[in-house]
Amino acid sequence: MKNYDSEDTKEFYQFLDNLIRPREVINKKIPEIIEAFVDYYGEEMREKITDKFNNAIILFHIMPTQIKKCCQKASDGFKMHIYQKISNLLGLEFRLDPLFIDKLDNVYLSYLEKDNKQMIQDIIDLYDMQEYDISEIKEKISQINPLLNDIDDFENHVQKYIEIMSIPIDQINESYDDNILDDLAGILDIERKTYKIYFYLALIKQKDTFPKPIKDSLNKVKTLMDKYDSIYSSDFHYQLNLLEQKDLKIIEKIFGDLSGENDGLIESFSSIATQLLKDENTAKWIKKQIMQNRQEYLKTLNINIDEIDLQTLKNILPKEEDVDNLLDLKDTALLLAVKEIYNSMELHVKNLRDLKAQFPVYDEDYYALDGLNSTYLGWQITSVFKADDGLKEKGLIMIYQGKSIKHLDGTIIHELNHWLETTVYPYKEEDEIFNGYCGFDEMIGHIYKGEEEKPKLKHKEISYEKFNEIINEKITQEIVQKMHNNGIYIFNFPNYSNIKGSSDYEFYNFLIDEFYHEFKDIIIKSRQTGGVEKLKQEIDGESIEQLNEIINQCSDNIDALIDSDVTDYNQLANLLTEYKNISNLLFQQIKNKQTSKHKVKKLNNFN
Amino acid sequence: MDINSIKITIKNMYQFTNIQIDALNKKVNINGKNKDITLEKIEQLLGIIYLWKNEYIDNSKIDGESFKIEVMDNETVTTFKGKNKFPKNYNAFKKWVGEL
Repeated sequence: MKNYDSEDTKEFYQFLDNLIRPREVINKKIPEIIEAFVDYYGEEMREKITDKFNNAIILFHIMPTQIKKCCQKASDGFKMHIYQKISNLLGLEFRLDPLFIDKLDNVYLSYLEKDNKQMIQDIIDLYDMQEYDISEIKEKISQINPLLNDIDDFENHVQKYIEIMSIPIDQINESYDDNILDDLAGILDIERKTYKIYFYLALIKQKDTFPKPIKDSLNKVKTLMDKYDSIYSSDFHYQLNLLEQKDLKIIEKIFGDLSGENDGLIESFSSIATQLLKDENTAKWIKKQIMQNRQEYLKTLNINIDEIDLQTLKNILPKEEDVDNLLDLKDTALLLAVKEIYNSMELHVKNLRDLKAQFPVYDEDYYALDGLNSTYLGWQITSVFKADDGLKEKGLIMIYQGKSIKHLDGTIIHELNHWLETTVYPYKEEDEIFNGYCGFDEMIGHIYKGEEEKPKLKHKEISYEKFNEIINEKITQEIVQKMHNNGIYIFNFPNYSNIKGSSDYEFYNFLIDEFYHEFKDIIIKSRQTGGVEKLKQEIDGESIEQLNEIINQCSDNIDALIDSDVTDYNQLANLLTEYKNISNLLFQQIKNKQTSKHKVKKLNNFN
Repeated sequence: MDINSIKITIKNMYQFTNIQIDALNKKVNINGKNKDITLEKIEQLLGIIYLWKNEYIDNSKIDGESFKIEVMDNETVTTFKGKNKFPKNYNAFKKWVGEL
């Protein structure tokens, strides 16, 4: 890493480097994180916190595209940071509004073009209607230039990371900066290519079972593949793209797109589809869709059912079993592709090694599936994994970066706190399901026994999920605030860190703030020692249920409004006031009942 | 088209997406904003979800994402819902939402 005069610049570079080696950073920081939690919860919790965090593994399921986004965000963040410094230097208030930023961008562009005269004019533009001193501006150019140079350096640095992650394996050569190659060893962008390869290989394996038009297309792919030593070479993929545009449309139509995201027309012949057709409760539109897709399949293969007899038609139509096998093969192909990508990335190789050391039964397939799913799951998740191996249940904390990297520390603490508040109830050896709670939320999962078929889980009708998340986020922000005040940072640093504003959960603080502050000790204790049932014992159960109902109702009504592009602010304000009034009444009710409860307890003790 | 309306909600800790499709009048409301929608676009959605199971739920995970889709025709309401577990072409569905 370069030596920089500016501490801020150094911190940003370190931040960027940390983003691509998150496992190392987290592992190094765990002792400090434990201390931060102990500082918040008290020394009596040290043993539990240490035990829990030693049975947790934090995974960063990053794909190269995610890292690219992170790099871009870091670059944008760094630029804004420098722009703020420049504004301060010029005696101007830094504003994040687009017009002001555009003007700063003009200053930067003029610097890059080495047009001093234009640069001065661009700086004058920043002052808008305000007064300025031209001689002072000219004097300050010597201080502004190095700052703009820092932006240029940082962007070049980031650009190299992004380039490295975009080129195919066989094109990395010595012209790339050795330091960066070392840093990014194994991180290569082969997503697109790998899915396609395995998909085609799966289809080619079965090509003789398909009608002639499909078989002919697959033969063309096989012929092309046979010409190349490496099917990862860019030339092969270039030729494959040409072939796809010319001759392979039928493949996509019949079998779905090549990322494995949809199964194409052939899935209408699967056993699931056939079952739905037979079931009289299936909605008409679903039956219609299945029949439409079947007809389209025949049309795509130029089969006119009016021109052939029933027996011939029966022979042409794909057999249920063959289709199910093919769809399974596609799933396998997708999984293989993801595994290959992960095996090529040092970050994931380390992740998996750590995982297997702690959870011997947790294998590559699970890792790949969790990775696939985590593209859907939002940006972070805490999961409990329990296998039938006699070992304790483990916490898997899966985090993506990219959404809000200024909140990265908060993201990690939020999930770790979920894990800390997770308790799994005792279960017997023959049990297939484990139950438990996480804070105020229920938890149910399968005990991994290596079988495919899993028993159906029964879920409670009333959800405490939102209530749980609001409280968890409150606790998280308190822990992070304390942690940062004590100078402990995980990824973020003082100039690049936000605590508030990481999620929609804090929007609902107005419903529970007073309740939380009045009963904080009981709330925190019950989240660790019995969940919502314990809370209901300590504080009037009926009132807790009512509070939860208000939170759920409020969330259902308001979530859509706060994320709306056309918020009716009057409607929103009225609803908020209404819910605030209800929560106030509930809080008074809870307080009164608690007071009565204590009075009764005192009287009983006295008697 | 046999469908009358479709309601979609997708929730995660950062965003709530609420989509209401009036198939008869070819209108869609996305988080409060009205626009037109083609029958083709609606059929595209049906083609993505038609073989989905009614429920995909994983209660061993905290945070994450949940979804609910209700398709209403003249006779029935077909509901698909999920929490931290998804059909394998869920990405295709998210892409469809993104393109709206």
